[in-house]
Parts: sequence; structure tokens; C-alpha cells
Amino acid sequence: MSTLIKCEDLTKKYGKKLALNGVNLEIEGGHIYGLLGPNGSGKTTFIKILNGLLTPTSGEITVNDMKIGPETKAIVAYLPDHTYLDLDVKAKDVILLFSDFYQDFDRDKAYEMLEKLDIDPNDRIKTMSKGTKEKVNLILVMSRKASVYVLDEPIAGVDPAAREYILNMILSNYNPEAAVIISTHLIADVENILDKVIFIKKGEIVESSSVDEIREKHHLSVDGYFREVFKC
Amino acid sequence: MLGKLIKYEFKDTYKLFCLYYAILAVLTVLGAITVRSSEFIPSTILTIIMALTMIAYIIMMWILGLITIMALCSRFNKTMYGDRGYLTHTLPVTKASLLASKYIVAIVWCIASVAVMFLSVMIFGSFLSGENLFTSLIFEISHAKWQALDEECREVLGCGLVSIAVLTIIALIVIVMHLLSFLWASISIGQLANEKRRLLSIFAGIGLWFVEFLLKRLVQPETYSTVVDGLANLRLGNGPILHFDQALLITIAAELAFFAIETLLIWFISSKRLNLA
Repeated sequence: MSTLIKCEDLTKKYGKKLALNGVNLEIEGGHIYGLLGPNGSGKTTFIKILNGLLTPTSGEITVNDMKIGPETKAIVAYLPDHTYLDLDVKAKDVILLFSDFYQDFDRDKAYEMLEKLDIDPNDRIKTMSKGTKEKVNLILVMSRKASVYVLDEPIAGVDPAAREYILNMILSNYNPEAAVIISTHLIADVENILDKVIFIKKGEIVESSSVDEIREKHHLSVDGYFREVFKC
Repeated sequence: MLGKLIKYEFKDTYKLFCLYYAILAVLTVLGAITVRSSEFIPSTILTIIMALTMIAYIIMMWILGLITIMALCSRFNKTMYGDRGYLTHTLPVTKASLLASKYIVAIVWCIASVAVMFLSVMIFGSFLSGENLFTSLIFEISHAKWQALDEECREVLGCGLVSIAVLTIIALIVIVMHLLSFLWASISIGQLANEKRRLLSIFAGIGLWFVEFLLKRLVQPETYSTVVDGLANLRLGNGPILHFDQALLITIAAELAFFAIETLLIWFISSKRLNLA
């Protein structure tokens, strides 16, 4: 599979604090990546830079050999770690907005998923529970036939039963040629769907390998290995 | 994509502005009715209601302009640098189209607010005077001696009535554009900080104002002060320093220049220095 995302010496500073320190990384299509690290390790900063929400202090990041801009945003589907939708609008209005702006958005698929999850398209976002809002956000992302899916803490705010459903939803709806990046610290929950993992610690990549390699090399599950690497 | 952005910008704002206009309409009608009623039915309660309605009406008229600008700034902040910014900045659109859509819609709402205020005054005035001010206005316009007015205008102001009217409208629109770019640029500078963004925005606003003030004085100290001080300082009676249309053109050029610089600043920050929390 070809390289979709390439980072060269990517650095981000917040004042004197270093959030990302010379990250070099290549992400290929056709795999599900786990971007794993404790709170404050730089996961969200990396994701924000990838989506053009933050500007790196130095270094470069490209998606499909393009610098971050409207062209990359057209092929990257992003799920932030919190609700970013207008709370006053209805679910169907957001679907209309996404189908207006993203050419790869499948409106029928979105309605189909809403129906499966028993969410009324006429319900306003503000009347929905936190879990339902997250599901709507995820439906919007997974209804796109994107080249890159970036999911920041997709299962953090939902109950364990819903987590499984959400992970199945990701697995059954993503474009198989795409790269899926799941950022989370709930490793045990996502471990089974990951192909590769990227461990990030204090803004640096400390491990980037396949899940099988970790299991063979360290004789530990990804969750166990994570606990070892990030032991306090 | 610009058309779609404009469509959604209108869709997101029309309810708020329509609510403001509806409140003003209700106050206009209420005020007019109570004023008229108090003439025929003397009553203390009616007088108190009339006074309260009048106060509310006058306050609403005064603050409608302020509300319009504040609502536009609040929306800009929320959709560009707040939580909604996550959606705004991940849409596959250029920052130029994004800013253009915001300016176009904001200017339309500013013009609409002025139009609504004018209509309100006309309706209120019609109720008070007992004559239809709209028909009076149309009558005045249709029966005015335009040629004589135009000649008088050329004599006093040094330019024709049409050019004054056109330039005044353009100048007002450009001044509103500059006001928006000034406020939005201040907000944009504020988001560069990781903490206390509002405070930085206020300081940025003061800084920008000071820089503009200095530039105005440096570039054209005499002509510019004449323009901003208004008609009275044009010394029209003792031989004008400038013709009125020239003064308006200088105002338009200066306001446009500041608008362009501040818009470039907003574009630069939102595309090269975006710092969403």
C-alpha cells in the first residue's frame, strides 16, 4: 500500500512547552493504526496538525503528497474528541451540510446508519444524550469514502456496550484502501481491530510497529506492552 | 463553494436577526399605539406603559446597531476559533472563500439592520403625525426639483447630487467593512495566545486602533483630519479645502486600505497560525 501521510521532523511548541518533538512518521493506506499514548503525550496535537487546526512550529506533514489545505481536507474524515456541531440544528441538517461540502459523503448511508441506531433525523443535536451525539458525529465521518479517517477518542464518552457497536461500525464502514487512525487510551477495547500501533510519549514516537510484531517480540498484548512502556 | 458557504452563513444567522427585527417591530407598533391612545384616553397606567414602551423603543433603536455588530463578532469567534471552528476549518474550502462568505453575509445584515431601523422610524413617525410618511416621502422625491438641487449641490459641495449619493452609500458600506475587519482581526490576534484570549483580543484592538490612528496622521495629516472631522471642518464658506466627493473618495480609499490590511492579517492567522484550543 502507498504512503498516505508523511511527517518529517514535525515539531510543535506551545510557548516553551514542546508538544511534538521532531516526529518522523509514515502512514500507509489499508491499515488501522492505533495512536496510543497517555494524556498530554501529543496525540491530539498531531491530529490537529494533520487536520489543519494547528500550525506546526517546524517540519512538514503531507497527505497524499499534498500540504495541508482544502485538497487534503476533501480526503480526510475527522472525528474530534468533542461535539463540534451546532447544537440547535437537526441531525438531517448536518447530513445536508456534509453532503453539500464533501463529495465523498454518502447521504443514504448516513440515513441508513441513523435508522439502525434508532436516531431520529429530525431530532436536534442539543436534545441528544452525549453518547447519541458521539454516534451522530461518527456517522458523519464513517459515511464518507475518505482516504484517511482520523478518530480522536471515538469511544471515550460511551458505555462499554456502545463501544463494541461503534468499533463494529468503524470496521464495517471504512474504505478498505484508506488509513484509519484511532487515537485512544482505552487500548484493551480497540486492540482487536488494530493492525499497527504508534506509541507516542512526551511528543516523540517511541514505537511504530504492527500489532503482531509487538505480540511476538514482547510476548504481551498491546495493552500490556503499553502499560509497560508508560509505567509511572 | 463560496455560494454554499454563504447559504449556510445565512441559514445560521437569519433566526437571530429576524428575532431582533421582530422585537423592534413589536416595540414600534406598541409604542405608536400607546402614544396615539394616550391622546384620546387619559389614563395614568396608559401613560406609564407609553413611557416604558418609548424607553424600550429608543433603547432598542440605539442598540440595534451595536447588537448587529456584537452578534457578528460573537459568531465569527465561535465559528472560527471556538468549538465550531473544528467543523469550519476541516471543510474543504479556501480561507479566502470562508472570509468572503462571512463579510458578504455580515454586510447584508448590517444593511438590513439600517433598513429596518429606517422603516421603524417611518412607521412610528406616521403613527405620531397621523399622516403616511411613506407617501409623503415618495411625493417629495417625485416632486423635488432635482436639477435645482443638483446645481445647488455643485455650488456648495463642488460635486453633483448623484455622485454624492453614490459615494456616501459606498463610503458607509466600506466603513462597516472596515469596522468588521478591525474587530475580527483583534479576535484573530487574540486566538494566537494559549490562555486569556479575550484579554489579548482587547489589547490587540487597542493596538490596532493606535496604529491606524498614527498611520492616518502620518500619511495625510491635514486632509484626513478634515474628512473625519466632518462637513463642518471643510470650510466650505471660505473656499473649500476639498470638494465633498474628493473627501469621500479619500475616506473610501483609506477605509479600504485598512480593511485590506486587516483582512490579510485575518487570512494569515487563520491559514498559517491557526491555534484551536
